[in-house]
Amino acid sequence: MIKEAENIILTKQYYELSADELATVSELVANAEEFEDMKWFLASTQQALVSEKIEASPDLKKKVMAHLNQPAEKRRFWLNGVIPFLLPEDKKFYQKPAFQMSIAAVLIIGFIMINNNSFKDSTVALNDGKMIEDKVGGEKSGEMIPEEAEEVSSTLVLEEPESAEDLGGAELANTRVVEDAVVYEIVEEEEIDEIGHDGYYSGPLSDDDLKKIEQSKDKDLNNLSTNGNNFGNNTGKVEKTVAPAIVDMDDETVVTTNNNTQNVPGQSGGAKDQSDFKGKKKADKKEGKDRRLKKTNTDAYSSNSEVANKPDVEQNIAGGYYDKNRDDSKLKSESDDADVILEDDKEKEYKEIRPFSAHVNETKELKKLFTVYK
Amino acid sequence: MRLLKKDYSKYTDEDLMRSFTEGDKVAFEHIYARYESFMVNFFYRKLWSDRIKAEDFAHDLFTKIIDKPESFDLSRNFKTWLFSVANNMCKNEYKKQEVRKNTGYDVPEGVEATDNTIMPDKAVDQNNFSEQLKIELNKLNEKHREVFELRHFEGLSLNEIAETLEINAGTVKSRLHHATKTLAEKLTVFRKTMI
Repeated sequence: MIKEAENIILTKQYYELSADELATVSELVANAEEFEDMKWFLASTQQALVSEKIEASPDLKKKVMAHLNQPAEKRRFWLNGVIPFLLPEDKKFYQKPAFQMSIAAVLIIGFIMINNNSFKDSTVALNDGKMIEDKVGGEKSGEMIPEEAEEVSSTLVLEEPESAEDLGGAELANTRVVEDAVVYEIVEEEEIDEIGHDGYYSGPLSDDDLKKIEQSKDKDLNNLSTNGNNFGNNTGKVEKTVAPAIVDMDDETVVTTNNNTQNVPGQSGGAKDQSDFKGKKKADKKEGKDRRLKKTNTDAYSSNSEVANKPDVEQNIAGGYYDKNRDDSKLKSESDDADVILEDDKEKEYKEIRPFSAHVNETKELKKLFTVYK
Repeated sequence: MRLLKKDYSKYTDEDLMRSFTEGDKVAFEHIYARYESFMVNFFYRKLWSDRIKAEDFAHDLFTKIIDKPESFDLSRNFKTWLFSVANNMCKNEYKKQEVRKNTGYDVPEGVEATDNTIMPDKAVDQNNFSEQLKIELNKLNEKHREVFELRHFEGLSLNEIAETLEINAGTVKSRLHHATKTLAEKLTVFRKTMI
């Protein structure tokens, strides 16, 4: 309608308007003067618009037609698409976002992988403890705190395997590893000041050590000596506990001597001490043998004297003394063993206890014997 | 020959678009020839008389039609559809410019960006009707201005304007009356001076 009104205003004069046309243009103009003003305004606007129009450049048409004639596959990607953004054609390869993002991804992944491979030594030790706990305990499956790991490993070291067959090869290998680790810790904790320069332990023995000595009496000497040698190569304390085990446990005198004098072989004098102990052992055995022979001789002597000279026996038994005036040659002739057994020192001992007032008793008892005999 | 050759000049816009959707590139060339000048001038007026920007926007508009011809609904009027797409592009550009204005290096409030002092040569130009028309158009409300421009600059009818702006035809009529009367009253002075 308005278009018609404008057309009417532009094409006709006010006085040429019909009633319908006047009704149409009455919305815009009220009288002839406004009609003329509106006519001038519309005509001037048309002229202004014509003068303001611009012509499109030929490049625009070329671009649009080039885009039109492109293959459909190339036209798929819009200017703001992903691939044109990642791989712009007007930039060098290192300026393309795809290249930069891939380099950044490689660096991040490499950094993460390198950090995952670098373990600390303490962490590795914790893992070993866990593995041993799993193998030995079998029931515990949680992580192990370091103190528990030390306790478990220490018990592993102190406990003696009953036999090599009880432990598998792999378990033995693990146990050895643990033993070495724990021995090393013991060396660190040990008071080395107690060991003298001559290789002998000079410090006092604790109650625990004495108990361990008592307990070690029942253990196998071979195993203990092996352990003792292993420990002896490392620490003095271990030798302190193991050294009594090397000694003949049947000989209490040796043990007491060691306890009293604390004459424990040290680290440097291990072999020498062992030879000393063996020498002592030989001497003690010889001494014991001598005593047994002495007892045998005494028995033989007494038996012979019972047969041959009973009063002597009685005198000897009753008085507890040896008769010096007794006929030794007779005894020698009767028993060859007695000749072998009797030695100078023991003869001296006999001589030392010989002089008494035995003759008084002898006469009395002889008289009794004669009277009985008669 | 005439039987074999298509006479695209007799085709309506909708027929040309149908042919282009079926793969006829010549049909698009005819569409482009019909609306190239319209679109460039439309963007030129709407985008601050920036010629380069107007051509860029016109290029984007036609490439959109090339890439997605199926986006046009064949039951609609092509002219109003094309102007509505162009008008939306201009609105998006206005929003971008508003964001840039608020984020950055624009002049603070209360400070005029341009010097309002009227120079002698400008005073002579003020007598120019077209310059005054632009000034008065910018003083109008956006709603009234766009209706006036579509009516007088682009030559759209009331119904086409209503379809382009997706508003009622009566609303277009009232807005156009208001804009025309306001501008006519202010620019009548030039008529008296020219006379």
